Amino acid sequence: MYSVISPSVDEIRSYLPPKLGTALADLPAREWGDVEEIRLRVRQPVRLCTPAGEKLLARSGGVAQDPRDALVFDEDDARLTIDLATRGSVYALQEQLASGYLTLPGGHRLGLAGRAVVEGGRLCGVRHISSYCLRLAREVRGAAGPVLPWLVDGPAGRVVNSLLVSPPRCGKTTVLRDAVRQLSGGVKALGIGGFQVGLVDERSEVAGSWQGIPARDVGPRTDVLDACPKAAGMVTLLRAMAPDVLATDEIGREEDVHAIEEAANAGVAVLATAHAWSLEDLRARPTTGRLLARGDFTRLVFLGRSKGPGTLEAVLDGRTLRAVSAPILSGAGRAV
Amino acid sequence: MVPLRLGLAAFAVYALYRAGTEHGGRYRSRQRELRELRSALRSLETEVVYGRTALELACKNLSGRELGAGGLLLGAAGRHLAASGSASVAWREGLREIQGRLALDSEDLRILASLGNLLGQSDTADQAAHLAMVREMLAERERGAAEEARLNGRLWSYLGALAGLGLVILVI
Repeated sequence: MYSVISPSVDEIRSYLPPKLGTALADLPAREWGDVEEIRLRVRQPVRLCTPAGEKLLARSGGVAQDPRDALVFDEDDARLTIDLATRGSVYALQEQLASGYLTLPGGHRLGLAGRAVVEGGRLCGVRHISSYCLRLAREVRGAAGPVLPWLVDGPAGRVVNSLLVSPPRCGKTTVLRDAVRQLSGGVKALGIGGFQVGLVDERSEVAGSWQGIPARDVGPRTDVLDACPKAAGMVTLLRAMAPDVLATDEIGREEDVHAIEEAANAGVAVLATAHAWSLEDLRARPTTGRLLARGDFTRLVFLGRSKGPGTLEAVLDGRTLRAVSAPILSGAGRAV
Repeated sequence: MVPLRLGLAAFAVYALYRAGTEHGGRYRSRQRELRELRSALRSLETEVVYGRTALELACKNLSGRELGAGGLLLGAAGRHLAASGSASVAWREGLREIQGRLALDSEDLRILASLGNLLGQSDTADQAAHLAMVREMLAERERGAAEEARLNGRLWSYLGALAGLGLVILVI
């Protein structure tokens, strides 16, 4: 049973130029509820990405059937967007801008592109921004429901090292957030009473923290280390907060491997996500390939969009890489 | 009757002298305000470049510390930034809110307004350069204002007193 908590138009329009905010506010509620991304490019129509495909925002509000009726994003809008998104403080967010995106309150992610500022071969920021991609963070309570039984070793009463795998835009982060929330709060149906969860939220997308306080529900026993590089964050939480479970989004760097190894040595379960289109793709990537070869993950949970974002497509044993037939439960589907 | 006439004549001379002095005082006020604004922009530069303080908070902090026109402008801009979320809108509206209370001329206001489209919109090095440029332009205006205050301030006092005497002579 899902319950989707979408951001309100008012929450989003405060980061957008007034003419865009007004047009979005005039969208029918159902259309707005489907919007996953808003793509803004200078001198191009405003595009709304939904599960049903791309739609153009009309000048008069609603969806434009004819491209000539679409609302066009201009240079002034581009300048005003970064002004509003940073509340007039671009300089205060220089480091984050160098990574090509800004995390807005509520966990929404504003990706940007324009003229790169490069110093010593290193990207230091972006000026004259001409493209934005606003990804709306949604909380889907219950999204991890089908996945959760596979992450828990019922008889042992613990969480197993698990990797949630999917291509982009298949709901990995949404499922991870809900899994963290449920593991932290406890799930009666699985017989788990709640774990101490340490969440390293490098891009502030999982908990949507703003000034250190999570905006999304990540459970009552979750400690969030916000805007911290994953590997350093995992090691810090491991030492500082004594978690039962360490959760993090989008592993893939070399140092992540060492942090996961350290967590495993400390007997702490790791729940992570990774981008990949298939098992072969996952094995071919240097970092995840090494993790798989060493058998660091007990479960590989593949997500897709076959029945909407976050669909559970397959569960593999992390060591044999074969499909797992059933969760480790006892009795009538109830974990011990 | 004579003492009354003399009293009225003295009052007329004094009143017009005060009016002239008051008008001349605007030149001195303008010079002072330009100095206060330069000081406020220097403090703002410190907050932005070294503290990387968010603009809204920097304006709020400095509005209480900076004297006169500088504190007034930053306070108004900070309030408008809190309401609109846009630095360019906040700077424009803040300036509009306070300009009637200041002795600045249109060119002074134009220089200040030019900062609106740049403030907060780039990295610290760029912000430092923009703020320094505006401060330098204001310093130039301040030097001109000082010269005007020296020449015109006293002139308007004399003109006021002379106008009062002229009025008395005309009436008598």
